[in-house]
Amino acid sequence: MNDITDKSSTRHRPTPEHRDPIFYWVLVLLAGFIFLPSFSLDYGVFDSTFEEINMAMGWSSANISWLWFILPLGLLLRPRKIQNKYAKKQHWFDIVFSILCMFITLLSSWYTEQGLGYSTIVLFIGLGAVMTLAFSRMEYLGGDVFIIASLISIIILISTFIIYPSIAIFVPMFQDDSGHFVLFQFLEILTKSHIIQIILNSVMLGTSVGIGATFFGLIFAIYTTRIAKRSAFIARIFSILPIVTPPFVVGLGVTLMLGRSGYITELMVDWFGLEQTNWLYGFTGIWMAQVLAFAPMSFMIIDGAMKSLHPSLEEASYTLRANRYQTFFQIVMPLLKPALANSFLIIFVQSLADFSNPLVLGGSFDVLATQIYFYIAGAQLDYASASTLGAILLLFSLAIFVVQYLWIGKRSYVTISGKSYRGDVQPLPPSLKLGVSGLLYFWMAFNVLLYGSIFYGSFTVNWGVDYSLTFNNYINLFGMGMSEGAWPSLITTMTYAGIAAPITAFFGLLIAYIVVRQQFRGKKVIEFSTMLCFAVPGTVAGVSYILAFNDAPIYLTGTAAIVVISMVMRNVPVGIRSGIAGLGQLDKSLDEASLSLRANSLKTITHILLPLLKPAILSTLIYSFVRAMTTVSAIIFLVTPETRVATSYILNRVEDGEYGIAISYGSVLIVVMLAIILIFDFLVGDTRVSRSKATNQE
Amino acid sequence: MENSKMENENFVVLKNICKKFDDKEVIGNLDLEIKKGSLVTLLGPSGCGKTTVLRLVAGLEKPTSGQIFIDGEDVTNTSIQQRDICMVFQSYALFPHLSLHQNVAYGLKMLGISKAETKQRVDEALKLVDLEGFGERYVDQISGGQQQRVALARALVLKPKVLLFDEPLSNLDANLRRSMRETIRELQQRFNITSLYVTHDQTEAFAVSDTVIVMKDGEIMQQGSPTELYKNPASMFMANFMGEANIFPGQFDGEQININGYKTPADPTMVEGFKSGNYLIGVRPEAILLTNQGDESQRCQVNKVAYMGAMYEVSVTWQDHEILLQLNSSQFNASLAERAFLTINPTGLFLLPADAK
Repeated sequence: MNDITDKSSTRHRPTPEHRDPIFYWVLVLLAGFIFLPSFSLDYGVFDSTFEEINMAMGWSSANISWLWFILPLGLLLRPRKIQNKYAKKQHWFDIVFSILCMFITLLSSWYTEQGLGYSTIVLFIGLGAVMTLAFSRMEYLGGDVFIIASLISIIILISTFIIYPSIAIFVPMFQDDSGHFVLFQFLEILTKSHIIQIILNSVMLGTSVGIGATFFGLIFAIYTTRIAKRSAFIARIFSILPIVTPPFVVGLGVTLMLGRSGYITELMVDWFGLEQTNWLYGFTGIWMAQVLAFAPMSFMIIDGAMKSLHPSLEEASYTLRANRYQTFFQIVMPLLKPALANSFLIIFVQSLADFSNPLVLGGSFDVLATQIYFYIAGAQLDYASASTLGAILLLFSLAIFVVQYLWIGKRSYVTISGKSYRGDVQPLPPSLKLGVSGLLYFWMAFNVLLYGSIFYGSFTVNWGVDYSLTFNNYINLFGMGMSEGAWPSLITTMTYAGIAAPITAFFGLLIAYIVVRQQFRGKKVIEFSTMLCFAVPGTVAGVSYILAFNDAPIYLTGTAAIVVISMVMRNVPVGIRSGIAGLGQLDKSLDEASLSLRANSLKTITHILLPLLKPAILSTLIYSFVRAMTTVSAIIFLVTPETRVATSYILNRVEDGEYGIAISYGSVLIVVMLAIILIFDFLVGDTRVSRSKATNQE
Repeated sequence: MENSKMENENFVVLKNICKKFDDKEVIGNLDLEIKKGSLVTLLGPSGCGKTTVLRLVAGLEKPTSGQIFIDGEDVTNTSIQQRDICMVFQSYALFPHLSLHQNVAYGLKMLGISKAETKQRVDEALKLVDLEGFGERYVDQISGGQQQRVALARALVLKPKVLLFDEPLSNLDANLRRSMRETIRELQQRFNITSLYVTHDQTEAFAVSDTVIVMKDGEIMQQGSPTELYKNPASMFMANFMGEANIFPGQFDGEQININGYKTPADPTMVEGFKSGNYLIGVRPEAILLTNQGDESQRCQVNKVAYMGAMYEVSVTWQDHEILLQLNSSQFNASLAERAFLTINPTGLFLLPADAK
């Protein structure tokens, strides 16, 4: 992406006497053809033999790749010198011809079943550069090369890695085992009684988890905004916990407490003569684990809404003779309705997409996410069914996303933009206060027990049978040398997350910048399709990546690249949101001042925005790193034994029933990630102070 | 500047400019010219489109249709960097992570000017705005007025063809405003920089401008020198926007003005170009005097008196009209409340067409 932009800046726009740089770009893409393999390598560039690389070179034989690179030579039929902005025909020809070249390349690669190789990256960059130059010469977007190039790159990347896979997931629905088109196969699949049951299960679970988690989220939000003194601290815990907790861990923790051999279950058996020790597995267990996991998320949404309620509204209500209950239920609650609805919908989708908790606690209670996983990872390898269920899950999520967008949203990313108000508020009714505090303390106590059990459990020999302390789990994980146990997966995870985080931050910030600061037609479309990343459930993303990138034209399955790309695409919304929040605090006139002082937009970004956004960028880096480490749903479909990451290692231990090892690894990850975040908080603390000074004075 | 022949040519020209935001028309078919070296102010109530016009000239917005020329060159689609303009922002937009010196030097750095020259020019510019020796400070270490001066220095240091001011004084308190607008006017005249200035404050506009353009709903209502606008408003809106005005139906016979029997000779400069006939006659409140004696057509009834310090604001009924007048403290005494007759100073009169709205 950078390659296009570094080349030129608006200030040093070449004068018309120079030779048109498009000639050089065509040379660059020809160089790509000569020096890089044009076809994908089955074993990657490092593990391929010289002969295999030679075979992949486009010029080594007569093949389709000659077409890919000869076609762009059509661009050479042009005047030697740069055409001015009035030569509209020439510029439109360049643009349309470049797009045509891209399409022909993709289509012919798909048709001949020869995957695109490295040289085609150069080809696409070259064609993108030609389009950029053409747009800039027509003075589109002020002729700013950087903005145009970014926009074209974003469009290409979003189409490739979000839109194309989302469409690809629908294809196997209509294909039978031998690849023939069958129109109504999906109806057959959907009308099977156990599939209907699974869909009902998922919807029922999602609804009740949505209600439960939103209820607790509301309780916490009331507590932190209206009751607690040190609310920032509690809010911080709620925001960190879900991020640093790897998947499976909450589910396993609940098992340790309430499962067949859980200590609470045993207490109940001893004291109350409980006979049914299996009650946790199924709907109840999943519900508990998901409410535990998602309530903090709901809290974040509702807390923001409550903080933006101005206390004068309540004060006005009191002066109008309403008592505290009337005020709370007739003023505060109705004003929170959009936030509550928003929270419910988001949690509903999260619950549908979650597959780690149902896997651990589901028993015979199957949901969409786990069923999809079994279809693909299990022995059945039933792509048609996986695709059908994936499509259902995707359609559910998209429908909810659209509802949110039209009904609640309208404010795009910046869901809570009201100024938060912290000050004296009238106290809540005493009984409500008591109830809220009580529930919160219960929740806290439960969480302390839960995480305590996890850590304690990781040091026991065999939970429920032999509670004596041991380091065996950790020795199994980390004491067997660097190529055994958990080390390979931990190192792989760190490496991938380390590569993905800066890309996520860069890409997210760039999109944020374009969405917030630039005006152009079709901006809404860009905004909408990046928000689609939110909407696509992880499980669906994983399946769709397998289906989309398992074959020509883009053959990535099994590579590290696809894992990193999936980490980036899953977390880009986080980068966008923090970029938007950060940019929102910087007065737009700062950019404009810089632009009016002869800086182009690239220089404005590097000299003005980046220094001022440093804290936001650092936190995006850290959070996308941590989130990439704990991501499971999409990754699980994409990893191979060579690219196995920490979460998939834990999954395998869970599948083998080695819970002790799984929670030990989970504990290590929690500690490591907590340390990363806390150290970061400590280091950035100073920067935050100086930034509050830095915000431009009104 | 260097070329005095250009003095009277239009340096900035907007032709048929239309600007829509999401199908909502903000500017409709606007034509505007700024002569070289003059300071033109866009004045109007908020939402009248004046800032949009400024941003169109700056290149921060693109017109939906129409053309913009600077120094004879069509810059309609040219990027902001290549227009050779500079802008002073309402919020000053000083970069908080850079020192004042770095702030002023920013534009020079972007142009690739050598370090030595940059330092010299920045020092000169800071001296110009009385901030010598402040270069190493940061934005949060100086006052609002000083920030404003840095913003001015940052714009001047590039010696732009056109200087744009977006409500530059609105964040300052009243006393600072007066001295800042004097500084701005003085520097603008000294360097003879063609300038476009946006404000909603009439006093400010009159104090700094060669020409004032009054805008409303995206259209130009009237333009001219401050005196022309105040003395000869072209419409009811203008009459009321440029200070207070009392409006009566009346006649002009070529020499005298007659308001319901009250006759006063017309000031020739005020009625230039008007034929005799029926008009609406505007009277500025400060042009009316109250005395204890006069004939029946001058008789009026004092209703309310408000003491404002430097003057009295008096509301009287005259010929069934409630009118407002402003009297020096020395011109008012309590006996007027009993028995009052008014006299109108002809220089405070203006004519509007009888059907003016």
